[in-house]
Amino acid sequence: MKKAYRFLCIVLVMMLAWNLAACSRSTKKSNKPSAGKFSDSAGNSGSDKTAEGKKKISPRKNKLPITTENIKLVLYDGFPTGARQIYSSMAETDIVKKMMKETGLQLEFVHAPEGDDGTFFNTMIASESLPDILRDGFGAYPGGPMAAMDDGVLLDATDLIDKYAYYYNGILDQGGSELRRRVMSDDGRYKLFGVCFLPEYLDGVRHGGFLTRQDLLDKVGIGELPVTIEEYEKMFNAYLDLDITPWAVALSEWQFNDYAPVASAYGVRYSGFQLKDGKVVYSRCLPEYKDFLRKMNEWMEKGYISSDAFNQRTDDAGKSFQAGTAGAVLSGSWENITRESVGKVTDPNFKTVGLAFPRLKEDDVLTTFSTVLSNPEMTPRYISADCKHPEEAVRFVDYLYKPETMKLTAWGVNTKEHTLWKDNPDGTRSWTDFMVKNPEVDYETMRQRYTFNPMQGMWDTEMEKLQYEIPQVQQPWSVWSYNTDDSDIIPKYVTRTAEEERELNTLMDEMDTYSGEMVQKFIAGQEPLDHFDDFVEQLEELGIERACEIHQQAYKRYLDR
Amino acid sequence: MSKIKSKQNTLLTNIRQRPLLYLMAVPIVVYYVVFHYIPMLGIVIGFQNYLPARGFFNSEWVGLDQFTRFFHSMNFERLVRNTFLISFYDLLFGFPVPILFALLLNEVKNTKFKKVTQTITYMPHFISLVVICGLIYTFTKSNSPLAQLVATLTGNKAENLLSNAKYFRTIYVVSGIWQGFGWGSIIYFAALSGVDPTLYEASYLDGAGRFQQAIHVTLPSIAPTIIIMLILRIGSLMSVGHEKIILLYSPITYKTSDVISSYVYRSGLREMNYSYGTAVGLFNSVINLVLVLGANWISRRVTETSLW
Repeated sequence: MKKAYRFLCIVLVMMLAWNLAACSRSTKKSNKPSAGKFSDSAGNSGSDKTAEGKKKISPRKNKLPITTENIKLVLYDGFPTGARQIYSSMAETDIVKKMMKETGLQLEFVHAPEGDDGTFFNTMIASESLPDILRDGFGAYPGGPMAAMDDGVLLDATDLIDKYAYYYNGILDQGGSELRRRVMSDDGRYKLFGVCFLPEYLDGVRHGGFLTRQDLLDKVGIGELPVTIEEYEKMFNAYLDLDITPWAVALSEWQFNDYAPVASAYGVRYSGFQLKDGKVVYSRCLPEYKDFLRKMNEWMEKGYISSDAFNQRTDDAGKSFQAGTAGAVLSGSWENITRESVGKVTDPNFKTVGLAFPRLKEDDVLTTFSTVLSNPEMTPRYISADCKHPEEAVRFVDYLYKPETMKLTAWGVNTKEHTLWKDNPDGTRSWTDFMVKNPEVDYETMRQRYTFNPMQGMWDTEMEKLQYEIPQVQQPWSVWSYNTDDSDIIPKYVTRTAEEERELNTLMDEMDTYSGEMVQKFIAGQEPLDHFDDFVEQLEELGIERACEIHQQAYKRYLDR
Repeated sequence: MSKIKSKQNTLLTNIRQRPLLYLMAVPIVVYYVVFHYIPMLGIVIGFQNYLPARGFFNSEWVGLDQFTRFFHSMNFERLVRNTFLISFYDLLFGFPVPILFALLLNEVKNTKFKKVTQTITYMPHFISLVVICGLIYTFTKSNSPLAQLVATLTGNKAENLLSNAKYFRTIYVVSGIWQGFGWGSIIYFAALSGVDPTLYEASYLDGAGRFQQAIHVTLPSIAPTIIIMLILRIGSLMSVGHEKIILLYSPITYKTSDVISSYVYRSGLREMNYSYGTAVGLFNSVINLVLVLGANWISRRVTETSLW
C-alpha cells in the first residue's frame, strides 16, 4: 500500500514537472519570433521601447511565410451565403488555400450556422474552447470586449499589435489621430483590431433606405419622388388603389431600427439611446416618440402597413416587393440589383427607384441614422486567451492588410477552371463575364463564392466602384443621403467599462422586453396612445435614467479621449 | 445492515448469472450518465455570477441572488402564467385527441383504409419544426384564407393572426395537435391490439352494442396506458419547448406567448446572462419535478396505477 502511494507521488511529481517544462517551452516560443529565420536582434531589444521605436522595426517582422513550422490557427469567421452553397467551410476556397500557401499557416474555420441569431457564438464562449482568432464585436459579452480581456477570455494583444502589426499600423498612421482614437479604448488598449477599413469615397455614405418602383409611380401619375410624409401618404394611398400593400416592412428586425424610417422624421430612433442637444437620452422616453407612434399607428389603420409587419422577416418584405405585392420596401444598396432582376421576371416593366427618407418639411435635416458607413466598420477580430501562437495570429490578421492580400480577398483567384477578372491594358482591372454575366448565378452570389468579403482588410476601391457604378445603386445613394446626418447618434466607438456594461445589461434586460412589446402594441393600436405617459413612467421605474447616465459617462470619456 | 448486504448479494449474483444482459444495458447507462447526469452539475452556475473565463470553480458565489432577481422581475408572473396555460391547454385538448382517434380508427374494419389513414397521420410528425412553423406562418398571414375567415367571423379587418396575442395559444395548441396526434396514437393502437377478443365476444352475448363495447370494454382495457401517459404529460406540464415559441412569437404577442424557456433563451443565451438563465431554468425544472411526483402520488392513491 505504502509503496503504491509513493509510486503515485513520484508519477504525479513527474507529470507536474513535465507540464511546467512544457509551459515554459510554449511561453518561450511565443515570446520569441517563431522561426529563427529572420535575424532580429532588434526585435527583442526593442520590445521595451516606445511604440514609435517598435513600428520602425516591424517591416522586417511581417515577411512571408509567417511560419515554417507546422502551426495551425482556428478561425471563427464569416461564411457568406453564396459560399455556403458550394463549400462546407471557407478553408476549401481558393483564396484561403492561397493564404495557407503564402503564410505557411494551417487555417481551420469555425462558422456559425446560416441564419444564426448570435446564440452559436454565445454558446461557444460558454463552452470554454475557443478558436484562436474570433471575428465578432463581443457586443453581447457581459461587459463587452474589454471585459472579455479582463476576464481572460480574450488576449490583450496591444503589445503584440504594436510590435508585429506592420500593415495595420500603417493604415492607422495614414488615417491620422481620429482613426486611432476610434480603434483604441479609453485605457489605451486596442479595442478594434482586424476591422474593415473603407476607401475614402465610401466614408459617410448611407447604404440603405426606401425603394419603390418607378413604373408604379408612372402608373398612378406621381411625377415627383415623394420627400415629405404628406407626399409619402399620397403615394401610399395611390398604391392602396392598386390593391397592393403600400409598404412591406419588418418591424421586429434590425433594418427598421437602424434605418429609422419615419422615426427620423421626428428626430428619434426606433429603439435604443441617442443624443439630444448633446445629452444622451432614451428615444422611447421622448415626447416626439409619441408623435412617431401616432403616425405609425395611423399608417397601420389606413392599411399602408399590414399587420404582417410585426412578425415577418426582412427577407419576406423584400420578397413581396419583388413579387409585386408590395409597393415600397426598405432595401440595402447591395440588394437593389437582385430586387430589380427578380422583379423583372414577374413584371418586365419593374424598375426600382430610391426615395429620400420621409420628413415633416422638405428642408428638414434628419439626424438619427446609424446606417452611415464610417471608417472603420465594426466586427473586429480578437485573439483568444487560449491561443497557443498569439504572435502568428496577430501577424496573420496583419497579413490581411497587406496590399496584395487585400487584392486577393477582393478579387479572388483565377484558376484553370475559371477566370474571375482580367487586367486591362490601361492598368485597370475588371470582372469577366463569368462573374457578372453568368446565366446561372447572379453577381452577388458569384462574389460571395469567389471573393472573401469578411476578410477584406480594406474594401478595394476599384472593385467597389465597379459594382456601384450602375444606376440602380447610384440613384438611391444620392437620394438616401439627402439632408441627413448622424449628429444625434452616439458614436459606435464609445467604450464602456466592464462594470458599466454589466449594470446596463441587467437594467436593459427587462426594459427591452417591456418597451419592445409596448411600442408594437401602440403601433398596432392594441394599446391606446393615451397610455404613453404611463409607459414612460414605467420605464423610469425600471431605471432608464441610470442607463442614460452610464451612456453619458462613456460618451463623455470618448469626447475627452 | 444484513438486509442491504443480502440485496447487494442478489445484485452481484444476478450479474454473475446474466452478464450479457447487463452488458447490453451498459451503453444506455453510460449515455444517461454522460448526457443527462454529468451536465446537471452545470446547474451550480445558477448560484454563481458565472464568467466563462473563470469557470465553475472560480466564479463568484451569489447564493440565491439570481432567483430573487427572477421572482422580483416584472415578467415573473406573466411567464409562469403563460407557461402553465400553454401547456395546460395543450394537455386539455391535445391529450384526448390521440385516444379518440385510436378508438375511432379501431372501429374501422377495412384494414387497408386503416393503414393508409394511420400512415398519413404520422407524417406531420416527421416534418421539421422549422418547416411546420413556416407553414403556420404562411397560413396565418393577413391575406391568407384563414385570416379572412376569422375576419368574417369576428367582423374585424383581416389581420395577421400571429400578431394578435389573443390567438397565439390557439394557434400553438392546434398546430401541435395536428402535428402530433397521429404519432401519439401509436401507443394506444398497441394497447388496443392487446385487448382480449373474448371480452368483446362476452359483451356481445350480453347484448352490448359497438358504442357500449367501446365504453365498457375497450376504454377500461387501455386505461393503464392512458394513465401512465397522463402522468408523463403532467410531468412536462411546465416545460414548453422554446423552439416553437421563438419561431412563432414577436414582441407584440409577448403577453400570451412569452414563456419561461423562451425567456431563458433570450436572457441567458442571447444576452449572455448564463447564471440568470440557468436559475430560471432550474426553477422551471423543480416545478416539473413536483408536478410529476404529485401526479404519480394521486394516481397511485386513486387508480393503483403509477410510474413507481
